[in-house]
Amino acid sequence: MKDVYILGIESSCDETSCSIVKNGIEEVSTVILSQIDIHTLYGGVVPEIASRNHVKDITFVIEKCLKESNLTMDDITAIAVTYGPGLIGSLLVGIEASKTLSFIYDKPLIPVHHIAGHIYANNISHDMKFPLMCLVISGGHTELVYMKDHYNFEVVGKTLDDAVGECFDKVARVVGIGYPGGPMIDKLSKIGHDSYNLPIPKNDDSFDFSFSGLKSAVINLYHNEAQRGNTINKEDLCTSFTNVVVESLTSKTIKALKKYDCHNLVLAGGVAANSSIREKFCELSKKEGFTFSYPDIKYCTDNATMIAAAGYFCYKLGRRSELDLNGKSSEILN
Amino acid sequence: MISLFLDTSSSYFCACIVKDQSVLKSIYVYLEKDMSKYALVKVKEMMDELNLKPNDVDEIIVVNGPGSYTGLRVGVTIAKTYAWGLSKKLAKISSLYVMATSVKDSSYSYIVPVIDARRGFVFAGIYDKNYNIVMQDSYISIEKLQEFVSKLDGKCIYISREDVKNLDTINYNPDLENLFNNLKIDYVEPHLLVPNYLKKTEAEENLNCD
Repeated sequence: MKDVYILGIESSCDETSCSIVKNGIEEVSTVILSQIDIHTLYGGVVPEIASRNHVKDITFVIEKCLKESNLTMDDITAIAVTYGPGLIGSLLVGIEASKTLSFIYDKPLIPVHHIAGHIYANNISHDMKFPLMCLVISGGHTELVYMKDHYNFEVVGKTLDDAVGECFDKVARVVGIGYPGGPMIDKLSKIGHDSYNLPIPKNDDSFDFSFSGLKSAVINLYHNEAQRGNTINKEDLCTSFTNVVVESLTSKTIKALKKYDCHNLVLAGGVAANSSIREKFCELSKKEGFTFSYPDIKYCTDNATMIAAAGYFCYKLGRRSELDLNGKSSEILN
Repeated sequence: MISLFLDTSSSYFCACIVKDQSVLKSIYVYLEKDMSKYALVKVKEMMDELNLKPNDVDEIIVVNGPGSYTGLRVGVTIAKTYAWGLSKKLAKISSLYVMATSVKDSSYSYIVPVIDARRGFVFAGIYDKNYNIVMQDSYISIEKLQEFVSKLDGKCIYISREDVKNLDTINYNPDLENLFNNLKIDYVEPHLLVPNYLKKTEAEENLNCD
């Protein structure tokens, strides 16, 4: 069978990325240009600044990716692009570039949902086993997705308010340890002790999550202690916060695995890089008897490798877009 | 030589195919919020009608600002990707210059194209009747612009796509033939082309204030 090379483009937030993936599993080359240093100045992603940087960098990134792959556009089977969800101005740059490539080289255009991409980060280098449950945790998403087979998604639970990664960032800001909050909280939580009492959010039988209450609880705790003239132990607060997050994510996920009689769990999204979350699921997988895997850290944050990998399976199903493909800032995974 | 001209700087999509200074086909259509959806579709339709393939175009001329930020990014991204991908020449042109060339009435000494930038500000330039720059394209308050214009000696005409508060403007209608007769070509390396926003983002402005 002829090899299928998918060129993927991702620009949904603050990473401009292009990647070429062979047969949905083998990474040929990837370029990721992160704007994180720029947005750190503002304590978070500024959409207009992100869009401006995408348009400045987009062709550089595509060219570099092609050069590193030692392929030419003639070798590319199809173009895959994130069409949503994400920051609309950012998405549009990747979409317009992809549509133009599809037009000028006469290649099929494949629309990839950003979350599908995150899930398919698990398919890079090794095949995913079905049926599986995927816990998607990132700055914009917290979802439990059940997959019977390739490119078959059923969202069984999701956050009703903030995404878990958003909660990490807010807590980090309050505690004063900078942006992005995830890696620093992860580090400090390893040193501290679980000494603060925080509520476990949405501790019920549903598969849905909620993190705005936890966020408020941390903010209130911090201000109350400050008013009393007490200094907060940052390490301890990070530990207590992380433990509550881990408890919330794991309890819901285990319940969903049981309900769906599913024995394969994968993680996806930027927060999947959190070591406490990984460790707890690893421990539970041995105890409860399910397989557990997560993407390499470099594929957890936004990248085009995952988009090209997902794009392959989308392509195989015959899904195509025409040149009128538009960006969708919010879009359900299906 | 075949040129593709693209202007996505407003809610109107404007494009044409030009062969040796004569406009073969042009389009001027109100797309409002659907610029990103239809811009490339319209380009393809236009080229299909002329039986042109993407590689038949020799150069792309794109309006890179000022104007709608999202609109500019749509046009600039299409143009730079097209030019880079097929090694075509790429040129940029000011939206205000394009507007100025729609005025051929030489009884006006000065042409003042304006784009509403809200809160009492506009993007504006001042051009003489031969389309030479008198005032560089700027982000400027309407008051300041009027002050500038009042000091000019000669008849002035304000031209705009929309009504601008406190300005007596006439409605812009593209004259692409006249534009191409007065085209000052400004080639640019595709990788380096960015929109000319003429304004920093609010976040950047606030950061500089601190």
